[in-house]
Order: sequence, then C-alpha cells, then structure tokens
Amino acid sequence: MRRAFAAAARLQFLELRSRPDSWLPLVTAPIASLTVSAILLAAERPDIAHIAIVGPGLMAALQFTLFEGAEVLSQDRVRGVLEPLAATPSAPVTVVAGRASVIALLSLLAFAESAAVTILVTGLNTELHHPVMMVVVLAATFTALVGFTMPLTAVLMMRRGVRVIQNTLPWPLFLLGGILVPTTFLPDWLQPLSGAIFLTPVASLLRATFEPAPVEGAVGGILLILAWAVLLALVGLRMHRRAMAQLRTDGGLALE
Amino acid sequence: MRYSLSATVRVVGWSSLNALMDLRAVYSWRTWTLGWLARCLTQVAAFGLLGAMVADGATQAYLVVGTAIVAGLASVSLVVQSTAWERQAGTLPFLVVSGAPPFLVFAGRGLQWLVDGTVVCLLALMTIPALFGLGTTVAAIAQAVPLILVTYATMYAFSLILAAAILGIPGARNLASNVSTAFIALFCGVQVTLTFWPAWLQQIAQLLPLTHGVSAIRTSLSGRGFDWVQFLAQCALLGFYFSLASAAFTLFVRRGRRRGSIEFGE
Repeated sequence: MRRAFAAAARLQFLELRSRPDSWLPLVTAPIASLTVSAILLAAERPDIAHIAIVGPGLMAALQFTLFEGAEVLSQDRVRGVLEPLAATPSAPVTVVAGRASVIALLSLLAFAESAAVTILVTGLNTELHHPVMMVVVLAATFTALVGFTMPLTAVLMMRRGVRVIQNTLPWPLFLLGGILVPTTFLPDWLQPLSGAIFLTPVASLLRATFEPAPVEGAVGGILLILAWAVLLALVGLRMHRRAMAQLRTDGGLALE
Repeated sequence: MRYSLSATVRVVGWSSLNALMDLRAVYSWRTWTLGWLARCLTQVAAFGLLGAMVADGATQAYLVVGTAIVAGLASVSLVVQSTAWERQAGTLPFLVVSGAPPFLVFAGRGLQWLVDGTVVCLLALMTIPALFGLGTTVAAIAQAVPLILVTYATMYAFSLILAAAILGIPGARNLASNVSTAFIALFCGVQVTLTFWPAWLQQIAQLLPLTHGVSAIRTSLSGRGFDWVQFLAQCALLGFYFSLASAAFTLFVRRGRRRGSIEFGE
C-alpha cells in the first residue's frame, strides 16, 4: 500500500511537470492578490491587506485541488487507465490518495505567492503575528484538502460532467466558506450553511493569524479542520468502494 | 480574396449553429442555470460583500458592476480554449482546407461564448445589485445592452488573436486565456479604478479592449445617459481588434500550410 501511494505521488508530480496548463490556479493566484490588494488600497483600507493573502491564497489552493483532482480522473478515463488500475491488487483509493497528497501540498504554494504580491503592493503593512499558528493551520488545511479530493473523485467516477463540477463548485464554496469575506457579512439566513463548508474554520483561523490579539478558539478550530479531513476521507473511501464495485458490475469504467 | 456578404453570412451562420450544438453538448439548461450561472452570480455577490466590508456604497456598486463584467468575460474568453479544441478533435485541417476564409469560420465557431457571457453579465446586473439595495433601473440596464455587446465583442476579437497565436501550442490554452483576461480586467477599470494606476499605465489602458466600454456601461447604469464618445471609441477598438484577429488567422494558416504543422491531433 505504501509503495502504491508513493508511486502514485511520484506519477502525479511528473504529470504536473509535463502539463503547464495544470498550474493555472497557481499562476493566477498572484494576479487575484494584486486585484484584491489594489481594491483595498483604492478604498484606503491597507489595515486589512491580509485579506488579499488569505482570500486569493485559499481560493487558488482549492481550485488547484479541485481542477487537478478532477483532471487526473478525466485523463485516466480518456487514456483507458482506469480499467487496468481496477485490476491491480492495490486499492484504487490508495492511488487517488497518493496523487491528492501531491496536489494538496503544491496547492499551498499559492499562499506564498499571494503573500509575496500583497507585501510588494501594500508595503510592510501586512504583519504576520502568529507564524507558528499559520504553519499549523496550513498543515491541517493540507489534510482537509486531501480529504476533500476523496469524495470529489468518487463522484466524478460515476458521472460525465467533470467540467461542469469543476466550474460550478469554487465560487459557492468561497462565498459560503467566508474565504474572501468573513461569514459574518453573509445574510443571517445563509450563515448556518457556512458550518457545512470545511473551509470556513480554515479561512477564519488564517485571518486571525494576522491580528495582534491571541487567536481565539485556535485549538477548537484546528481540531474542527482535522475532523473535517477525517470525515471527508472516510466518506470518500466508502464512496470509492461503492463506485468501483458498481462500475465493475456495469462495465462503466470507460465512460468516454 | 473578397468574399460576398451572403457567403459571409452563410459561413458565420453555419459556424454559429455548430457552436450552439457544442454548447448544448457541454451544458443542459439545468446545469447551465444551477451550475455556471449560479457560480457567476456567487462570484459577483462575493465581491459585493467585499465592497460592503471595505468601503462605502459607491465602492460596493463599482465592484458589483465590475465583477458582473468579469463574470461574463470568463465565458467570452473561452473562445481561446474552444479554438484549441479543434486541434485536439482533429477538425482543424478540415476547417483550414474549406473554401471559406478561416477567420470567418473560427469567428463563428466561438460565438456561443459571446452570447453566454452577455447573458451572464445581464442576469448578474439584474439580480445582484438589487440584493445589496443598489438601485439599477431596467431602463438603465437596457441602455447598457449595446455597450455590453460591443465591449464583449472587442474582447472576443482580442481572444481570437490569442486563439490564433495559441493554435501552435494548444497545451497552454487555459493559461493564455485566463492570464491575459485577468490582466486586462485588472488594468481596464473593471474592479479597480483606472486612476489607481500610474499615468503611463492609464495611457496604455486606453488601447486595451475593455476600458472605454466599461466606462460607458457604468455611465448608463448610474443613470447618467448614453456615453456616445466612449461608445464610438469602443467601436473603433472593435474594428481594430477584429482586423488584427483576421490577419492573425491568415498568418497562422499560411505558416501552417508552408510548414505542414496543421495536424490532425494535439
């Protein structure tokens, strides 16, 4: 299992190197940060410049995970790789997890890019007050992103509309998860939905690391992110098993 | 080679019909409305909330209108990708050897994105400002329709130039389309005021595909009438970018034929 996981991770890294288009969210993250920084400076709000790091950084990380996670499956299906994969002794979900780990790890580069651009544009107004907490939150975010990929790829195995899902999911998640703007700015009737988005505590904690005050509810928030990671991974695992069993029965692995 | 008007209309008409079928293959009414449209509306709403958080109502209105335009641009610029798909699908050589000028065929083949973007932008302008209590009248939106069409058509022409350039390296289609659109939106007064940028950049922005049209759209939506000066400037840019796009496709085909690089697959 460990060898299959490592081989899948290596394969994913090699694939990313060979496809320049797959880096798109990481290329556009600095431009998004530049846009948000410019909006904040034009509105004379450099005091909340960290929003230009957390928002676009997290948006790009999720988009990279979502796009590449879905692309992997789509490519495997087009190339006819899914059938031999299903026939190997390794569980296909191990391969998905190996590839998702590389994707999620690289997606975090978006934060470094966004931070570099924001600091360059807004000067040194953006001070990180809790660097250790930031690292811990990002590590927890990594696990949640890997977990998120599991049910996502299971759903995509069962249906054709990969592009529709890739294009539809991000902005509703950004809005309800309070990625760009805290959820307190949402209408009252929408706020309960934020609790069902795994990114909500991530965005909230990341913003808090830029505030001078101690981060409130840090331990609870990190445990919540990790709980989301475990829940998503378990649900994904179950969905993968069911999807694979059904596709084996239906002969539907090569839908395209 | 001169091409008659009726032949031009016929070629563009068939290409557009083909384009419409492509769109129907990607989206059903349900997936377009609950998927793509919902995604665009939430994007506009998110920037509306950002406006509410950082500043006053005027900034919020500026961001809502600008992001509605950005949301539609995401569709319009897809012509870069869909042109590259011809190469993947192996249909590129057939389009090139057909009797019609390649530019007409390719300009018609992506028209679904222009319609898609315009509809998305209009629906966003009709719904999201009302959610934030930003008054926009139906008459003002109706007045903005020709301005939105001309502005998006200019961006469409710009994207066609990029599409011709990217046909040689179709693997970079998403990067080229998204990065160029993001930069153009950034410097054309869409979400960030033009005056925020240095004077030299503002001068360059006068020649970019969105600046004049976006300014005229804002004037109409705020009830200050139809800005004919900006409209005519935008029309001039439309002609300029379409001429460049036509030349770019002619150049691509001529070079491709000479080098034998128009392939049946990526």
